[in-house]
Amino acid sequence: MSERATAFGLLALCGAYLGWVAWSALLALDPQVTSQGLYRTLPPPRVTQHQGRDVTLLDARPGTLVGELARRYHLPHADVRLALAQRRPLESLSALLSARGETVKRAPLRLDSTLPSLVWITEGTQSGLHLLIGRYAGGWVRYEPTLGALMGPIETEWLGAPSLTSSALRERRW
Amino acid sequence: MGSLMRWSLATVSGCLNGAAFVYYGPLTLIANVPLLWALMHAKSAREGAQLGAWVGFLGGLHIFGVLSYGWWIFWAFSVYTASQMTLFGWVVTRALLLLTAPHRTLTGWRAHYLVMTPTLIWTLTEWVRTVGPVALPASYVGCVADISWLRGLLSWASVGGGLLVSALIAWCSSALAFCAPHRILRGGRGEVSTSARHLPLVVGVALWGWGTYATPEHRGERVKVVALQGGFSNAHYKASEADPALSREIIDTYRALLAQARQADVGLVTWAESAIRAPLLTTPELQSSLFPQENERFTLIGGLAHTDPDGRSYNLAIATERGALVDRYAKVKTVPGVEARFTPGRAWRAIDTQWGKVGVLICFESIYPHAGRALAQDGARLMLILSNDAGFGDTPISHHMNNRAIVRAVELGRWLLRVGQAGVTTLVSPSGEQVARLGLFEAGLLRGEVSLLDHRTPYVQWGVWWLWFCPLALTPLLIVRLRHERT
Repeated sequence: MSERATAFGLLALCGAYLGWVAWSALLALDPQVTSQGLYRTLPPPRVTQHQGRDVTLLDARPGTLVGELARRYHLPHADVRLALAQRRPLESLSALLSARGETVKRAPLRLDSTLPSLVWITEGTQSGLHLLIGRYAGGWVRYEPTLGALMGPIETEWLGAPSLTSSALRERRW
Repeated sequence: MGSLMRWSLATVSGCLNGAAFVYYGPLTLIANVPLLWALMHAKSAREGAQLGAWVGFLGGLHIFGVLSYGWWIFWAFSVYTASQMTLFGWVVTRALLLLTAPHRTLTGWRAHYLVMTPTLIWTLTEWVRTVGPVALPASYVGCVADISWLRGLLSWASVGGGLLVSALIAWCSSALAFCAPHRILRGGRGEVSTSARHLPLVVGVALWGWGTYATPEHRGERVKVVALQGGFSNAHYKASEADPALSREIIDTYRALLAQARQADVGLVTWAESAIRAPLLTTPELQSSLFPQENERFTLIGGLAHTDPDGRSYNLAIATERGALVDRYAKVKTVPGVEARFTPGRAWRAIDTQWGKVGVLICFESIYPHAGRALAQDGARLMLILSNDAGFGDTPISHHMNNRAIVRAVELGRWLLRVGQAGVTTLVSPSGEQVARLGLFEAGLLRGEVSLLDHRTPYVQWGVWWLWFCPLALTPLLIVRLRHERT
């Protein structure tokens, strides 16, 4: 084989390898893979009106830390956190550790694919009333902090969401 | 050898260097061989520098895994490695041109110089990476530290530091390059006969290292240790700045982990760098649950982000026993820019505990070999590395930070417990074996038993004294060059 052919062969081999490396890099840039990318690519908060008051809407994707959203957008969020803690209580950590050995994967506040993606609604810092709306099992549900329970399904057409099955709760809550 | 072939070989070398850093460390043994073949045929030192720069750039590109830190670190790493390899390519080509000039100087030593010059230059460039305000974890020894079949080679770290291991790898690479078939060397500046003898020599040296300088691992007082790994991401900590409830959750997690550690008869418990960012030292309520109580015999060494009453903030390691703070150590080498809010500590010194002195390196400090050496000289019987690699995540940097801990353990001849806030947490024996390990982003405990050791390895006693040999050995080349310039 001539030297020229060998050189081109080596270059082709290296090119293929570097292409694979670059492809891996692109995968790493996927916002679902890198948490920083996840937050960077979130849509900005939307402000809408509800019953004459400003309402801020945030769309969180699986993998989002709610506390991180709150930090970025300077929003109170203790009640939102309560909603998530209810799903995976902190008190259960010890039980999890002992049940699964000592190397349990932890994500008490990180939403994963088993949890609904969330729309977080706050009515401002004064009222102290924060509601959590999320998609769950194909419908919209809401969390009412004062009751400490997940309610739903509800109709939230004012969110611009698809119409949902029941408006009973809307009558009571909104 | 034509220009196209030289650049092809440099490209192969760049890929091998990157792959060694990211995927498989032992590739370092051959990574620079194609580059050396190209340099043997380079027309000028300038071309050698360009070939070196290309290798460094391609190798640096493999650092893609830290992209979540931002593109700047991606390019910075590539430019950094390229600049080092530029220097390497330039000096090596210059030396090769000189050694193969028609007047033929250093006749008897010529073949040895051909092999040793790249080795010496590589060693010096790698040494540069371990000094100054910004050291890098990238090194040959860092690539192979966790490879069990190369542990014989690693044991040389106790004699001359990790740098000596890197030098041996560079020597091996250079010897291999000069064992190439005549077809590659012909027309270049290679010389097989004498140079080839270096290969069995370097293999012999590596094998001789096996066991010869291995530190006895189990003698002296033995202590049960537990490391607590919270497993939180950095985003979690940032969010806790805005959410007191999240801050409480972090503390509750460490309380829960500590409660589990307490159940065992343990001598030392530790958690990672800045794992607790609440004002622990000024909050008795927190101390009552996180400090060892008066009736408990274990020592707790943990990482805190702490602000003193005078307003100065420190990245601290505290030691507490029987409900009281017994010593504290502030991180000396803070990361430029990133940790600007912290006041650096004054000097590396070991922490006093009931178990004697314990050396603590906080994260970035573990890259500096002389930091560990200073702690061992101060009487440290056990080494701890408190770290937070959550930001690096599952990237080559996390892997190399972990491997650095292995190198420190062998250099100092001490048991070393590395505890990462989000991982990796690992217990390393003085011979460099990882006897227990917790992965990234797991919460849990790592238990183990260590021996408190007092002896001093040759590296602790003399450091990298042998490094003086490098400029000394290169001096004849310099003299020859000056003489030629005159004539």
